[in-house]
Amino acid sequence: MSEVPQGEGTPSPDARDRGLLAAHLAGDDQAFGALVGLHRDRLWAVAVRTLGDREEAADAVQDALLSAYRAAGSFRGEAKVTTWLHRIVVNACLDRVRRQQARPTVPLPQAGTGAEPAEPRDMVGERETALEVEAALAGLAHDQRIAILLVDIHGMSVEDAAAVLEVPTGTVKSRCSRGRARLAVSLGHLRNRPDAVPVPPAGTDVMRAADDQAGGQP
Amino acid sequence: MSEHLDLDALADHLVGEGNGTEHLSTCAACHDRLAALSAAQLTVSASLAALPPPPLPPELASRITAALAAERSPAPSQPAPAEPAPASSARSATVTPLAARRPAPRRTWPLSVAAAVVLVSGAGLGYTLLADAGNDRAEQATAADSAAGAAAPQVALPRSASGIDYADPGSVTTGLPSVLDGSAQRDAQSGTADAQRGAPPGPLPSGSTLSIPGASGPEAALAADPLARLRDPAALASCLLALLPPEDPDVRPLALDYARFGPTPALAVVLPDPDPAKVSVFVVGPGCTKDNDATLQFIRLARP
Repeated sequence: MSEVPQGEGTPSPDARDRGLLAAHLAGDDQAFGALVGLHRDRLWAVAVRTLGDREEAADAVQDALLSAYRAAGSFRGEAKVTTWLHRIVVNACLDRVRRQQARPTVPLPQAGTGAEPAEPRDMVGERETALEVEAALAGLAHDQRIAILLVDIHGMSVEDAAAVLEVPTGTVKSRCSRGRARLAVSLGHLRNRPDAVPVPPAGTDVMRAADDQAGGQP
Repeated sequence: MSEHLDLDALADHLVGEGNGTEHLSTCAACHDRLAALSAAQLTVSASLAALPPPPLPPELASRITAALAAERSPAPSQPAPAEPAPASSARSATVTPLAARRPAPRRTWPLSVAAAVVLVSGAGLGYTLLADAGNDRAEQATAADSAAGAAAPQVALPRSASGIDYADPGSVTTGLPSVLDGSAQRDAQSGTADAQRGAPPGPLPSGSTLSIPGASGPEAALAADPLARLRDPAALASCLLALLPPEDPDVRPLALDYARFGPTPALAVVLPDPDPAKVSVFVVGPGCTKDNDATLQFIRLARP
């Protein structure tokens, strides 16, 4: 009789999330709020870093959670609940991005774009501030930025990120790696190595120059 | 000599997505750039992982709560009570908490499983029987069978094979009411001790391991259907012991459902919840014992 019954602490996070979703569908009016409470910090982080604007991000998160609330019955259990929630939030953000882009008078955050590499660092000042990293991140294309948000910042598996973005895993890997490469340039990590060939952030003009330099090799 | 790889091509190559291998094998410059990029990416990844999370705006949480509440309020289909529903609520006409049925004559419960014995108000027989569950299964099963014989036969603890996939919230919501009111497909293998001892399994929920036609004997039955183990009274009793709250020995399952969790055969044990408006459902794997409840899923649901 000394057995301690296993309670909410035992199941995996996803089992817990599924339980809350099932309770919501069964009419428990607290369950969805509890589910939101477990995930809103990360969903907020994805939204604000995708959109770069706190008001827009708050609106996107709210819209997304309301549509998740309404669409809970369509969750078929093929993915993790958190994957499903992230997908809805990411899509809500991308909708807003598209609307922003349709209104060219509203500028996107463009701090620290690859076109303006940061000053080369000396080896002592190796680590940049979080502010610099955030600014460089904001300069990435949305595809690359969101992939990096999910995988590098939130530690999501490539497979789960692919499920969120509804693209193949290879696409997620490529977006992450290309984004990291751009960040490496804009944060100056590729400029402080004397043996590194200067790499342009985009386009191939400097590439041609490198090609010419290497042209004499057999 | 083929063209040098640009930054994107180098980045793709680093994650096995590019096709510049041939060029890299002959171009020292690109090879060096690849190495530099690889090192720089590690630094970038470390910086990204170390980013502090952006603080949640304090007003966002209350905004979301208010928006969800507004979404809820006009919906007439789910008039969830603000307070836990009383046991006599019309919504729980078919299933009422055990407490509401008291005082129930002890022997009217169907003691077809040894587990049920322990559920009867801490009766000494039950505790003795269960204290060494697993040590002498044959003897316990016999004791349970005779207890079953002594019990009044008609109040059936619903034992179903509903086919619900407990990994699928929609399936649970749709199917659980029939499990609780006894209208779900009965678990054909639970009926008698003979069935437990090796009669070929009856229809299984889709997704379960299929039975082998003509198989007989406990080993064959077990191989064909992993859940057969949890039809054995002693094994079931041991499993339930892990799930029942020790502080409330009067709790008994509302229903047992031999179903599945995704592709895995699983037993769902439906228990009264501390909140009378809800039920608790433990979904356990075939290996459930008092020492390892093998819980796959724990669900709290509004009482259908």
